[in-house]
Amino acid sequence: MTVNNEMLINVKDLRTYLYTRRGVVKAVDGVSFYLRKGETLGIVGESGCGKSITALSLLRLVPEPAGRIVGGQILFKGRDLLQMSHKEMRRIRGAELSMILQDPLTSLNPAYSIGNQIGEAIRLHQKNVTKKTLVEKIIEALKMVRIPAAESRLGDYPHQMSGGMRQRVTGAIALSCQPSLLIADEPTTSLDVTIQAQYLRLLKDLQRETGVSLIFITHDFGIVAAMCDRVQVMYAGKIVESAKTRDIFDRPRHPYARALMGCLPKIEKRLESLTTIEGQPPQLIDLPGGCSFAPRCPEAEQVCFEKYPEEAKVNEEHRVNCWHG
Amino acid sequence: MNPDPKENRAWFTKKLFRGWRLAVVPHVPATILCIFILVALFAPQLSPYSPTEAHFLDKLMPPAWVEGGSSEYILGTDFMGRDVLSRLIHGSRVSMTVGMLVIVVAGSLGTVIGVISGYFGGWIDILLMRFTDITLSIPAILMAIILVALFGASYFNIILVIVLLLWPRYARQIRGDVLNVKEQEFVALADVAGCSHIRIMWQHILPNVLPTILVLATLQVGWVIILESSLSFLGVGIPPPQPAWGVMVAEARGLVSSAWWIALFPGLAILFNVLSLNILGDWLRDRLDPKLRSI
Repeated sequence: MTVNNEMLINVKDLRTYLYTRRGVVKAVDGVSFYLRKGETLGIVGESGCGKSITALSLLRLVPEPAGRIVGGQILFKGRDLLQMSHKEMRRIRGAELSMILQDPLTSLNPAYSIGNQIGEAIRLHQKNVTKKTLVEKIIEALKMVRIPAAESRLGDYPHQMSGGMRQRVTGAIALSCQPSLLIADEPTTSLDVTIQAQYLRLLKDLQRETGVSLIFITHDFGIVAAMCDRVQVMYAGKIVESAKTRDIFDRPRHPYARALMGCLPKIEKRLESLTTIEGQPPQLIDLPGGCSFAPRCPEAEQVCFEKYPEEAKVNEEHRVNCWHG
Repeated sequence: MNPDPKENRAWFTKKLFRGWRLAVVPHVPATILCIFILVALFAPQLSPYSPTEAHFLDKLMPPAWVEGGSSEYILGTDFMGRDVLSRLIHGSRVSMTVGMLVIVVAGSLGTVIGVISGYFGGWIDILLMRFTDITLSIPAILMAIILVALFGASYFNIILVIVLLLWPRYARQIRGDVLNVKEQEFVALADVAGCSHIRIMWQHILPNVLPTILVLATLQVGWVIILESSLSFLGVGIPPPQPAWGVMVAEARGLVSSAWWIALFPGLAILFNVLSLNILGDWLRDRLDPKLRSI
């Protein structure tokens, strides 16, 4: 895979708040990260830690009116997405930024054939496509995601396909306009394990073919190890540790990252039961002043409850937000 | 082919049953409806007499095949000596245009409001739904009487009144369906793909609520015809000399025991019309469902 040093996306101090009846939820609270062209970044964390909202913020599709991006910058190819008009943004979505979601069963519109749906994505962003080239492009897109006998499946409806196939069709739609960034929000969670492996391999192949950058949102470290160049661990709306995949597996610095690793069953150790992290992830309303992980952290000290730790540099790519880091 | 004749037959029956379900049934109601439409189109050519012409000497004549009936008036005459058949034929014009127009206009209006309300949510939803609630909470007949008293009873006004009464039912139902559909991920993905709001509503949500609209529409035709006749009954419907099925039933109410034919034939016309539409609507819904289309 070719990772050059060209920066694709650079997020600085992104803040997305959800204004609910019970108070302000700081779903994304000052997140900064970057992604180079052709690179794969994993975002890992428990449910409700802000992974998906981060992804939606990149597309500026935070559910309104509750959600609002209240601050920060998202530099995409040097331009700030947050400063763009709705019209410009719409042109960029689909063409430059694309997304795959969790549930293949509802990701496709049951009322249209799959050929129709892939065609729609192409037509939206490429005007003046003749009918013949459109059909060719649709078949090409289906072949790209390894749908067998693509020509004969154009008229098929989503319900005639299996979950794995549907997810591949969603992939075909997402990649049909050659985007430069694909966000995959737990794309394999609802697929069974063999299909999962197949799908991940396909994504990897597609990345090699098209040079697309990937943001992989997951809670599965196995997927991270297989897919990602870099990982960042999110907790309560903040990135607590980011590093190269190898570094985080070898030397996790944040207690939360360590705890997550500890939850993975190891092949060399025989366990009676799986390790868990004690306690619940915090409510994102009225977070305490200090480190949000402190109440669950085995190494917490007085300072952890009082002040949020500054980012500490372990090496050029490895950063951690912990007093012990 | 399958060598076992028993299994073969089962296969054939199954095939027949499916065909019956999706293809044959609508032939009967479709034919009935076509006849009604043709009759309505060619009413002046088909009817033996003028629908408003009174033959006072021949009043309350029973149908031709009943004792005392005459072949001059095949379905008999009413209390003013007007030919029931002619009135029935002309009445199809009024009843069917009122029914169809109301359904189309109220259906479109209700659908647009329901889709917008469900899709955008928030204060738009609150505003539109409270407005819908208010309209629904006013007693239909009372509102009709007031509106007709204000604007006068005419063909156009009756349609307008029934549209005003009918659209909130669509709006409510469609909004509920839209709330369900818009949470599915393909809507979010359409957003990601760069579709505009209008495109998402029109292309992605509407086709998925279309079955509801159709079923509702076919079911409502009966309601419209009945409401129209209730209005006529109260004297605020289609103005009297004009024949409409509802009006005919209403006029005959006092004579049901002595001159049953005046009420029976328009009643049967309403029955067949509504029933045919219901069956057709059911069939159409099945046809539009992609899951049943390949059967």
